[in-house]
Amino acid sequence: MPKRSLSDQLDQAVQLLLSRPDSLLPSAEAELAPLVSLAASLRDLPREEFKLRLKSDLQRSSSMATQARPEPVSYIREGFHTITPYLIVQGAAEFSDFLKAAFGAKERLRVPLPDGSLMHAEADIGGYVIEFADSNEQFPPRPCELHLYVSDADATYARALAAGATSVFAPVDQDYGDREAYVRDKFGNQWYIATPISWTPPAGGPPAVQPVFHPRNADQFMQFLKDAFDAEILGDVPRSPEGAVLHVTMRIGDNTLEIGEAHGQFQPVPCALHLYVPDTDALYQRALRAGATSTEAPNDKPYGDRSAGVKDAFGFQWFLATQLRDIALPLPIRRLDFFTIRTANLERARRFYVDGLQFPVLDEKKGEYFRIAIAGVPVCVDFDAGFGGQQPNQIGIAVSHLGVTREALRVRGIKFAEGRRENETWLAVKDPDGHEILFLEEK
Amino acid sequence: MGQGTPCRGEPLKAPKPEAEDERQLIAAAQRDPSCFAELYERNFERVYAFVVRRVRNRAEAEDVTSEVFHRALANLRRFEWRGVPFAAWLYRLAAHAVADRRQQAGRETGLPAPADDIPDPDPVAMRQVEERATLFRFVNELPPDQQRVVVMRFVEQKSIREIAQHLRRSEGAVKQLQFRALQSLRARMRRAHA
Repeated sequence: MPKRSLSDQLDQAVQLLLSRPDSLLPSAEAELAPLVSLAASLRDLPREEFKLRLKSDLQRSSSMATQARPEPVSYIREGFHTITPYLIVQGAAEFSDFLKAAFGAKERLRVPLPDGSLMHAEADIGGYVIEFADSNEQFPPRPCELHLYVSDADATYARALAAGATSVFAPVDQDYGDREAYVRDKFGNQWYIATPISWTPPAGGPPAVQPVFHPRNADQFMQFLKDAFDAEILGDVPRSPEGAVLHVTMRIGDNTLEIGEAHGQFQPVPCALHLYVPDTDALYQRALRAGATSTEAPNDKPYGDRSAGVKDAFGFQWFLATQLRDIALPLPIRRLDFFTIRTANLERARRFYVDGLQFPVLDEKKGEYFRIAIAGVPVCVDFDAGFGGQQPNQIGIAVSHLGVTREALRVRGIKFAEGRRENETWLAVKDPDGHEILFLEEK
Repeated sequence: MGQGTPCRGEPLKAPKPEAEDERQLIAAAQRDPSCFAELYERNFERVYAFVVRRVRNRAEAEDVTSEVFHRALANLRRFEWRGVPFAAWLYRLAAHAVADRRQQAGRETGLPAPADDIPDPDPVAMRQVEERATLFRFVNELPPDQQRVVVMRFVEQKSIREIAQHLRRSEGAVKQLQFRALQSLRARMRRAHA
């Protein structure tokens, strides 16, 4: 009897393994034994479909996990505190240079307009942001009074003067514990430059930038800040013999502002403040109830903030904002200017689009291109001698009546194909270069 | 687990030790769960091989394996790299999942749950699991016709005749393919463990 082949013998062992899964390994020739042992393990081989399905299940779970747990966005834009002064000046670019030269500011952001003026800019002084922009008809200049805490008031004072500021008073040791100077810049802003000398600032140092207010009727203003923005008074409120508020520090959120009754040379400077708050809509309503008037109802801004504006009874402007999405500076898009399709024969293409389909010409340069408007979208048909119809474009145009379109094409003698899909019917026209125009009517 | 997403950080200029590479993969998946795919690909066969010998049948092995990876994905942020291979953590999850299932089965049948619900510390058993996982991966590297025969024979448990009909080959040819596939797997396993 002829000896059976090794493959037959192996299969017999495999058959035994498969029919009696719990049995011991069937005996086999020494040569086959390792293969039978492997075959026993292969009974546990996972199904490929299972592996793929589980992967796809995990994929769905992981994408859901990613979507369900976005990184929480702080309501305050990165680098900002609750209160940020917003200075509207004439000559914002020059003002930026002044901030750098006088106070060592670092420019964070600059959004110039075509005429060179700045629509918006941000500078950092000692970890606090100052926002500023050029004034215009809509936004007349709004200077600010600011209190800076610096490491050396004398040195900063000297730098500020060198940078063009005018001294109101030179550094002097005040009885409230600061060495302090006072300057005005040419843009109308007023700067207190101070260094603590006989008091211990809180951990982390004193706030580098604080807005200062000299309202008329400081008590009412303080009440407004409490009612509208939950401001709280820090420390004592020293008063003059007549009862006027000499100086008070109030906190809103994570930073502070200073208030003193208007008097003498310290008159109200109608500054603008940017206030980052957890809920712009709620605070806007609250500010209105507290007596402010609306300058802008809450709305979503393209840079990711929800923002509103109010003006208080004391002449100060408040921009309320809540960051909703952390997005970089958005592209300042106004409209789609054009997109291009190529043609190897400009005249032929012009006959098709302009004479045939009768799309209006926006502009053209003989021998180079012509630009037409399709439903208001500019399409540039550009001459390219080497274009041979490779990768033609498709232009989809929604129409209200496909029947009318059909007749219109017939009248013009333009050939078309027709078809229908699930939710629409269409007519397709090819231009002389192979680009396809699809007229679609939704069902 | 989207494709084309850079999940490894910067490109690797020189081959890195496997542990370092794995650590980077875990960190990437902790930041972005869509990077879990690579960890899954690297460990699927291990987990399945661990589970399949500890449950009653293929359906149960698939259920438990699925549970292990879902648990791993859900708890990935809690995983701390301490130099222990990621697979060890998965084996622990698998051991717990198997134990849970046995307990559940015990409650349903009224029988006491088996006591061996602790991760299997036996190095011999774990080496067998690793070997089986390697074998499963090698099946994917076989020539297509050999691979089809192995899958039809061992996963789908078809007879030689059925396979022959399906592949339009003679029964002898199918047996030959099966023989060559096993020989090839044997050779690969020897090289892998040389």
